[in-house]
Amino acid sequence: MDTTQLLKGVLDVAVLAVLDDEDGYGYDVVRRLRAAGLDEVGDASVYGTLRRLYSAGALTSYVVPSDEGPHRKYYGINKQGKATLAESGKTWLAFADTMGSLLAASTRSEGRR
Amino acid sequence: MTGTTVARSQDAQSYLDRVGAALADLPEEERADLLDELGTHVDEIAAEGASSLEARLGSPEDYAAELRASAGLPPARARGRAVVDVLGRVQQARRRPDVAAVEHFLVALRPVWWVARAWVVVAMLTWFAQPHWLRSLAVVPDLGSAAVSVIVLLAAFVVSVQAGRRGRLRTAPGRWLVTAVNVAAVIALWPVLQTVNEAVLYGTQTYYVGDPKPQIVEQPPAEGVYSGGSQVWNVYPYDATGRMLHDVRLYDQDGNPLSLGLAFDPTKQQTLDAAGQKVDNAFPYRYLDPTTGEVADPEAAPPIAAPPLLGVPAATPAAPAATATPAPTNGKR
Repeated sequence: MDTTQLLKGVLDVAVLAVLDDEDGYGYDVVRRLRAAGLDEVGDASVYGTLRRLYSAGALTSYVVPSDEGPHRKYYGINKQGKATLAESGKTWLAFADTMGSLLAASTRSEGRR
Repeated sequence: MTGTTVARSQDAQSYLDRVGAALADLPEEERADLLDELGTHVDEIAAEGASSLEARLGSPEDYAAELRASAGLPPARARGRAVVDVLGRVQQARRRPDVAAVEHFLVALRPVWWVARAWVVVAMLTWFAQPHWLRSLAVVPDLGSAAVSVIVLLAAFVVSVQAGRRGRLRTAPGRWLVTAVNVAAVIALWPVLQTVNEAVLYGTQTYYVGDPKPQIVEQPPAEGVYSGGSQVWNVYPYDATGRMLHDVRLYDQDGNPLSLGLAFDPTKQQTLDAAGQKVDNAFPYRYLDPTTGEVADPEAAPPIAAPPLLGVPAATPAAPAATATPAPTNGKR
């Protein structure tokens, strides 16, 4: 199955989780998601997600001057973002659990055939 | 787009321009903000590798679509690929120094347009408010009294310039209104200029309503002799038998020589009398051939046939002599 389809549903949680670890600017978030194993993540999606979470009030944003180039816009998680992360995290884990047992049952029955 | 262009590569710039073109329907502020943030990102990616951005990030249009989808922005209005392409090209053209120079010049002229459109709109409204039989436009459109006209025009200037300075409006109806006014003003600009120009050249017509006393202007007497409303340029006398006469001297009722009052013409034959005085009342006037200095055609006459008069005895040599000396009693001229 194409992971990009799965990513769409969980990108919000993934981005919040990354920022919960440490503040970051757009490309930095992209890199950290990829480093964590989400190779397929598109950077336009990450940008859009950051922007949407910010508009929704889940993130703070500040500009940091940089020596090598233009100023960077950093994002950080706030209280509302943390609440969302906790909530979505729980939902995700429950969902993953369900999926896990569902898939385990199907492999078992396949083995019996 | 703000000035974060720190040695941006051409590839990055053209990529950004095309993403920008695909986002053209977003409010300018939001779009600029997105592109600004994207700019630093694209620069960074461009610096990482040698392959083109399009190869690494996908087409700018897809990139923009992905950005919209994940940011929860409305999807692009159904715009053909061609339109987006043209917009992208326009963006790229604007990077060229010559195009940019022209654009900067036009941007500097924007306040002129703000004033002009206010004037055109006031002029148009004035025009349509006037009864159709006495429409006219002055430089300051006449709204009844001079003070009202000036105040309305100045108020229109202020509104238009302020609207221009505020930039792109956020609400769609506001943007539509501004666009409609601009389009109408562009279309009306030339006719309004023409009308005002006419008024300036020929003057606005003034109508006297309820003034029964017409103004009588004394006209200076016109020089020359007139017959049936048109000026007489020559006189051809014919005798009773229908024969054209030459060098007939004519006098008016006061005994003054009858001159046709023509402007000096070097080709007109100059006649002198025995006293050495110039004679201007000997008819018909004759004209000289400029090359020979001789009278070009002594028998020249209008195409008429004058039939002999009835009941008049054939001219005797005495009769013309009598008329030739009408004894000018007081006329010394």
